[in-house]
Amino acid sequence: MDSWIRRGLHRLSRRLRTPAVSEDANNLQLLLRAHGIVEASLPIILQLGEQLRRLTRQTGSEFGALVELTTGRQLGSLVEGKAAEVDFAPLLLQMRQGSRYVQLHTHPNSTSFSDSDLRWLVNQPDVHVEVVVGANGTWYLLSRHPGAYLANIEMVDIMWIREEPPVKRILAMQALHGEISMIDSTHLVPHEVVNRITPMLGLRYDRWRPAP
Amino acid sequence: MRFPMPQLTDDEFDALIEAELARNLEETRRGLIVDRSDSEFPNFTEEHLAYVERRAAAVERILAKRLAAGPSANRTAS
Repeated sequence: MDSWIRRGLHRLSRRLRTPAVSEDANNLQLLLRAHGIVEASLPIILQLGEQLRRLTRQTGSEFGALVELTTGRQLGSLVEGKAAEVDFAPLLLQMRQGSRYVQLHTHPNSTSFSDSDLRWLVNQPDVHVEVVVGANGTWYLLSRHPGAYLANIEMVDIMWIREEPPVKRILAMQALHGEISMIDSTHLVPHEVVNRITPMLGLRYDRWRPAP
Repeated sequence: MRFPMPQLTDDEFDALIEAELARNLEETRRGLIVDRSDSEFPNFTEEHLAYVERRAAAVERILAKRLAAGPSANRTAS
């Protein structure tokens, strides 16, 4: 193959490759910047994420917030949900047309984005980044790939349901062979499904875990 | 926790999945997030795996029906 074709293919493959999981990255701020979080809002996002996490650890409930991407201004108050849900309807009413937002919420069991989280993001065109903070300090980041075709709610559902069986089979097999614990195998399902389907949905996905 | 439903016909099973898709759409449009995958941790029994595989097959059938019916039928609930 001609070298210029090889170079072209290499460049193309680099562009298409999604750096989906960066669990070895030890700098959360770098990842947040990579998802489009600007300097003005970065410290606020970090502080807010930690505040939400502490509230979740205290209560066992999900907590959420909406922040303006460019200014870091928080919209309204925090929303308190239940053990496995949070309602952003009161905050959505306060969003201004033309502004871009970051949504943060917590997961008491520290799993990755749920199918509901993915649907929520694709349904909110003004929300650029969605952040889930696990009670154990893990951060999960999801953002729109600039210029990418964005899926709709039903595409999220279809892809999630399609990918769930092979992911569960693989994780069950790994648990059976003692490569991971049974608890890890079930907790990892959302992470593995999200990791597989987000490139097809026009989304970038990363996970950051604090050092043990 | 969801359970496999081997006694249901494919049509009955598909109707359940259609209802689940409609519920998802409704929750999302309201701005509600329901993190079932952060609260439901199934044991990886053969029964459970058979259920999720049947669910995936149901989604393929639903999708095929919608494509055959044309664009106007391509939404669960408008």
